[in-house]
Amino acid sequence: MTKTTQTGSDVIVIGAGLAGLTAAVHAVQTGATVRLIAQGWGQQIVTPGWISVCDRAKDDVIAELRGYAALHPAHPYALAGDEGMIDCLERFRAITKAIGVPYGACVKAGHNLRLTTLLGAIQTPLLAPASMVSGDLTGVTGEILLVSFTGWRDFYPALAASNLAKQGITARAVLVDAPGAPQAWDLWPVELARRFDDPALRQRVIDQLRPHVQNAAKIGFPAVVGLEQHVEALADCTQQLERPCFEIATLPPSVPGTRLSNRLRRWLLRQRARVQIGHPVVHGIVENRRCVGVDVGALGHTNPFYADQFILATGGLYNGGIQSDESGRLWEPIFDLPVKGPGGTGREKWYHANLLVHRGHAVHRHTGLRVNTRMQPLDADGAPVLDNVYAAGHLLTGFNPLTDGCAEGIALATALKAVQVALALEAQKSY
Amino acid sequence: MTDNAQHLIDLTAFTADHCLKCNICTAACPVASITPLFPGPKTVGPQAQRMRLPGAPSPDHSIDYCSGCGICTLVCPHGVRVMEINTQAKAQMTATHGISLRNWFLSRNERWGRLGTPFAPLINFGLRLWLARWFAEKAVKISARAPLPRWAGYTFRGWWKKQVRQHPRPAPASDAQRVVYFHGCSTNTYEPHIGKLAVAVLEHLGLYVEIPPQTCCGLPAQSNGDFKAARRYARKNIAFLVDYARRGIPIVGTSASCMTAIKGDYQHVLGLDDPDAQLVAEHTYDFMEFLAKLHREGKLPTDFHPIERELPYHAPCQLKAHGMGRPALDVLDLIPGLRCWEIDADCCGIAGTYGFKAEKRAIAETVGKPIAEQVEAASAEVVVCDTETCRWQITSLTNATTIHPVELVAQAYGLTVDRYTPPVTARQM
Ligand SMILES: Cc1cc2nc3c(=O)[nH]c(=O)nc-3n(C[C@H](O)[C@H](O)[C@H](O)COP(=O)(O)OP(=O)(O)OC[C@H]3O[C@@H](n4cnc5c(N)ncnc54)[C@H](O)[C@@H]3O)c2cc1C
Ligand code: SF4
Ligand code: SF4
Repeated sequence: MTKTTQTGSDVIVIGAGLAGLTAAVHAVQTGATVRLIAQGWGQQIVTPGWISVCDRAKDDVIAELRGYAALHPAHPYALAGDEGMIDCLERFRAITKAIGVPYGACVKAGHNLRLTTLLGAIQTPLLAPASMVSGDLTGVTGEILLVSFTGWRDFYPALAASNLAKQGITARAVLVDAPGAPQAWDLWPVELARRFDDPALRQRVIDQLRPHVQNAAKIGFPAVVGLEQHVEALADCTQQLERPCFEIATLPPSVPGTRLSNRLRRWLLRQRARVQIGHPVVHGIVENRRCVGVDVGALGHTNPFYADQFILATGGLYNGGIQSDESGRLWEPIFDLPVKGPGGTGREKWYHANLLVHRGHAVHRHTGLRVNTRMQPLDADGAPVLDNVYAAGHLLTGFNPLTDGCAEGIALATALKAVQVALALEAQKSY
Repeated sequence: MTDNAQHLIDLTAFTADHCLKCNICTAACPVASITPLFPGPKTVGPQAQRMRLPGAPSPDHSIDYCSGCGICTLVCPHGVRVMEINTQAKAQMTATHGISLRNWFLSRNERWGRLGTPFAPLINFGLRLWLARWFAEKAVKISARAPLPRWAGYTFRGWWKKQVRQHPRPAPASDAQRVVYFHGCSTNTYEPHIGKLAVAVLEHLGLYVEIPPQTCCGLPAQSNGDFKAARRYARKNIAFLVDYARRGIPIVGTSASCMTAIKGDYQHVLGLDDPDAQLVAEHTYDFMEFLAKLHREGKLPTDFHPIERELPYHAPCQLKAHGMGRPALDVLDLIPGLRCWEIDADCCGIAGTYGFKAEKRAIAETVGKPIAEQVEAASAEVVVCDTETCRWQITSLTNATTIHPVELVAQAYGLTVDRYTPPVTARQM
């Protein structure tokens, strides 16, 4: 499918976060030739791996989002358009199913899930890996059994149980020996997950748990139940323990995020797309408001890569898409696109005096690129800066990815919109 | 910020300061997740570096289990040169505790290749005896399961000298028609056909090939922590090559890992921070990268004969480090009928000399498993890969024949060389 031409590929996607990866998938699915270039993996490997669309919605999530977008025309959801929202969620579910990391939603259609964290707090994303969805607390009345490993520093299930109790959910904690290592102090989630891939090691955990199941309605494990064989691993636990087993997001690195990233990469490679992770794009080659290529900072010399269309999904302040320094200067390093900031001189308006202030700090809400409904970055007068560069994900201004509970939804919606505009697919609803 | 301050920050050890401790590298490290003996890149790298003088020895000896594959450096979103920091720490350990006989032996492959050539049949036979392998494992700790090369019985350099003597070439009108070929040790003594094909392709493109004196790139010594030897090799190569670089003549090589050393490691790992090293790095290209560049410039003839095949391709970890994308795939895509696809695998496990070590062989085999699985699932009989030790490892993990992409390019141009049968046509599916 991917065919090198004199001018390069149809699309270059910059960034390997949720926005970049899904943009690459959409573009490949239209038959375009795609090259994805990223300095490193995106933030899905340090986040739970679920999809927050509008965490605060109490009932119909999309209705709430529509209402919000109508009131806030500059919000990325309003710019991407609400019909795109439903479309991108359906596509995400379809591709994750196809690559073997299926995502699911709440049984109450259109509602947010209610998932416990390792501290026993309840989080409300719209979609989550199927392994987490089976732990949805919506309507649960029975007792939850929470499992961790003796000596493991990253999950104290008794604490989670006591916090859940305060919210009216009965939970009980149990510690068992970690698979393949009685002392689990320094094990990383990914390391534990690989051990769960091994049926013999997994069996030892299951055998230890059997006497503790008792009246439990569901059994929650930290999200380390298998890496490559995770569907089989969780099904095995569920079948043998005769209770729905589920996963709870861990501290980084995130196994669900790693599974998703690995499988998306494998799918893209098998479609003969290029996936180049490891070096930064240092410079955009621009001629008459058109980007013709990008230079990649490489060993010895930079390397140019050419394409017709460019999707910029390099993340926000924490991911390298926006840079800052001690003087309060904010800049976009590849195309030097205009960056909107919190205003004021220096960094005086960046932070609130209260670290945990409701709705977060100004620097996180306001810093980013302004785009139009075609996802094109804009200058101070509101005119597109470049004809064929489209921005998506955390890079955009107008929301706070740390507090608003919509970061993944925005990544998916804006990535889809960017690809549709770039490949002029707005008219064709489905391809 | 002053240029000097920026330079200090860019120095490898100081990239540790960009580390957010996000553990993305830990999740990706192919070694950490399969052995409890290695706590992972963040722990032994930037975490261990944060209170340490750059260059001071690491107290943590588990770093010996790092394979040096560099995946950590690639996945880090913040530009931390994790592998480079680890390799420097390893060198400090070697400087303090000395190098083992086995690691010294593996670091001097260049010598064994040369010295063994006249005795090729005997060595090739002897090294495949079960008893010899058992002895090597017990006495020197070189794994009995590790893939060994075959000595060709003649050297590429010897062939080239004869070639030039028999067919004198007119000197080209300008330096723009010249190209330097860096063959590396393995092509010289084990796989001369790769070098012969590379020369055939370059000459087909109308280029005047120069093959100046050269020595081992130094990577085996570097990855075994012997920086003294590695720097000696590096300085020699720089001296051999810098004149060409100064004249703007490209230096191309068919071993992607040797080219990583010359382009990057001389500076970022060995700390050879001089203008000559930089100049050579700037003008050095992986062979397929060079062809892709010619294509971008409209200078690559694309009158290829079709090759009707679908072949898996493995991008070696050290090739990924170049930051040049996958030029082999970009060029092979120009051949009608040929459909190559990249295997999803970080590293084949061999990582230079790592997979030859008895105590690390099982790790190396587990790291390479995804390759074997995908090759098997595709029922592929031929795998394409740019680096020699990776090819040997893939052959040992699968039943596939492994080839360098230049073999396909030569075949598509209708070129061949003596004492060589193109494996793709030889093994039609
Ligand atoms: C993952 C992680 C989690 C942590 N969590 C906690 C926590 O929860 N609570 C807590 O209290 N502490 C925590 N710490 C420890 C805490 O971060 C350190 O104790 C603290 O940062 C030390 O501050 P410092 O200014 O002394 O050193 P640092 O903040 O480490 O700064 C040292 C600086 O000196 C520079 N430097 C070193 N050598 C040289 C040289 N030769 N020349 C010039 N510059 C040099 C370094 O590059 C660096 O910029 C954590 C540390 C890590 C790594
Ligand atoms: S080295 Fe990079 S990837 Fe690893 S923990 Fe630090 S910032 Fe994260
Ligand atoms: S170089 Fe490879 S083995 Fe070593 S720490 Fe990095 S990823 Fe792990």
